[in-house]
Amino acid sequence: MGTTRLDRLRRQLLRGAVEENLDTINGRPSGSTRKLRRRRIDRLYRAVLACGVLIAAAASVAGLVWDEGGLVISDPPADPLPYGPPRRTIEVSPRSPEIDEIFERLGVSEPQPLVPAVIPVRVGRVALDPGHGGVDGGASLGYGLLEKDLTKDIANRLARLLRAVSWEVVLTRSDDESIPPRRRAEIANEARADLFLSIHVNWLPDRTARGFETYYLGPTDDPFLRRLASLENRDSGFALSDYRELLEGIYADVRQDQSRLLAARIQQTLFETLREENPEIVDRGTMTAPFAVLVTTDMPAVLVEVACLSNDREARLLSLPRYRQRIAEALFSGVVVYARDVASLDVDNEKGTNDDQGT
Amino acid sequence: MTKEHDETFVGIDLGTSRSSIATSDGHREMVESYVGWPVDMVARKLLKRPVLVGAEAIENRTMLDIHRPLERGLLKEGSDRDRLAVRQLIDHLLRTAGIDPDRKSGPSVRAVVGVPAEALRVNRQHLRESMRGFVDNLMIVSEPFAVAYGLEMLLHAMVIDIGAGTTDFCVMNGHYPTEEEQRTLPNAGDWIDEQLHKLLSERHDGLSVSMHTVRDWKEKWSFVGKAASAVKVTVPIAGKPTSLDITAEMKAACEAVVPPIAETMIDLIAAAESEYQEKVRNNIVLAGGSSTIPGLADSLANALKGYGGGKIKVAKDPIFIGSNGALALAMDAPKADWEKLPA
Repeated sequence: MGTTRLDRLRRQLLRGAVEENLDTINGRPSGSTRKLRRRRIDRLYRAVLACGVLIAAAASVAGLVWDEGGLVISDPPADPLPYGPPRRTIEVSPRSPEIDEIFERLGVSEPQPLVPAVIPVRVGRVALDPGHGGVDGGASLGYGLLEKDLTKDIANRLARLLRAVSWEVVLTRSDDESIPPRRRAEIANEARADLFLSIHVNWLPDRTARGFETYYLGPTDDPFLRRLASLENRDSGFALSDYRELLEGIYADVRQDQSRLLAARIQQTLFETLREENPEIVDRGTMTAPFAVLVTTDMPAVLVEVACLSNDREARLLSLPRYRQRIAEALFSGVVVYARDVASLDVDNEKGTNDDQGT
Repeated sequence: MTKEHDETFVGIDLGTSRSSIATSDGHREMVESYVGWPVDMVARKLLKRPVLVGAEAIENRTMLDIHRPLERGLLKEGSDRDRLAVRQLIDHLLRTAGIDPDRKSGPSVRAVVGVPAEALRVNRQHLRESMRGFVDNLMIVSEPFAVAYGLEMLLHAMVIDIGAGTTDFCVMNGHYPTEEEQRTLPNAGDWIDEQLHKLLSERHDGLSVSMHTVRDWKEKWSFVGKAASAVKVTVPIAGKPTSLDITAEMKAACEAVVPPIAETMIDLIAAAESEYQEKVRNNIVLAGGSSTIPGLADSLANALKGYGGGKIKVAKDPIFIGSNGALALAMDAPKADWEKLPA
């Protein structure tokens, strides 16, 4: 390589290194990766858009009257990936002239990318629970893949996505530490999280089995799921005397509908997002199981097994940061769509109540 | 050797197991990345110092609350002691290289520090905070990028930096590497130690050896492929000195690191533009302390045979190659750029 060319290359590389450092100092995403992230986020928003527009269309067809709900919204971000300080939140009073603008922004006739800021902030604080940790490594594969590391990495990636759109995130563990399920639930409850997402990686006896599945609280007759739940519930932190109450909770839980809805949304977005990277992926569905961590959480709660570490191909994919990022993006998308669903239902219910009072 | 009289340039490779520093004044120093505080008054009286760093800390570890401030090549985020340990290590490293971290005057110290390829922004910010007060200007770069820059492997080349905490990959395509051109794996020297420790514990009832001892064995006798000679050690089992042949365990532990590194290497080559893949395959360099495991480079080259073959070299001076590359970056960066990057 000629000296001039080498010098030019050196200067170019140094410029890249300096720019990356300036981006870190100024809290901006790295210039070299900004375009890449923008592409990913754009894909993510397009996926969310499809669901969002459908809901908006359904609301419009049902004749929802927005001015009876008193809608809380945030300013729409100018950039689809709004890093930096949290966005201003404004209250929109009923019959405000801004309602037209909101309808315009949610417009069914002219679909536009769904920006998180138009999601009502009824769900704004998410508890993320990276499964296992400390001495409890969870599932592991011969060449260094440990469930506890994978779940922490995915949870951190998801936390960054949520925080980037000004959602609050509570992590039940931020380090490699062993925390019993009971304490994990307490952390979420104390933080008054709006929903709880426990992230795990599956290990199935059939090494050819692959895919992802999402659990919400409920009983199960499946002996494998009973065994899985008992494994995950090890060192739960509950005394024998607590169990009667816990078991009653499993059957009488009123959050079950919301948890089922959250599980369904996550399952759907996982499939839509991951099949691009992993065309052979299998949607193993939503299921109920009595995981201890789901019993004592006060909010809608799900446990997601995002992939099968026992399957060679999925283990290899899990070792790739790119794939873990896609999983985080899929979970983010599921949470956003669920939040939007909840907001739409709330508006619907309030309208129904007001209509009843009026007649 | 300073570029200008008012500047001293420093390249630092902060490693999980060893850290090295190279300065524009010609210093080249390596320090074991351990920091320890005497556990009680007796230990303090015996050691005669409030804190020990590096090899001294390892030698006296039974009397110390010992910390490795880096985990998988990143600053540990734990107790106050962990945070203090990082600063103690950096302080020691600079002093060893003839730089007074408490200086009030003198030339500006401009440092480039290498971190794992996929170190997150938050890790980089923690590192900035830990370096504050020690140097005047700071640039943080990915470790394999620093190695590639130092070796002038800037175009169609791959660096695989196998350290203690992580194995870092970087493909150089003539521009500053993007996220997709860099990878970090947790399978590195420490991971081999863990595998070896686990295998020995499983196969020899009553054997109790520390991770330090296992690490020493690996550093003396590690190999991939065919053993040059049998690996025999003498260890106490139930109190009785016993001779053990650990050749099979050493082979299994060291060879376990080959598949994940080979897979990632092939994956990155496949992601390069097709007309340049052959050039990249024939321009691969292994760096880092664990790259010297006998037979490892050959084994990785064998993995490339099914993909058209390739050449893998082991860099000379693997301990200092990262800090030398970082120093080269520090010295080449224009003064105007340095002034934009306060520590």
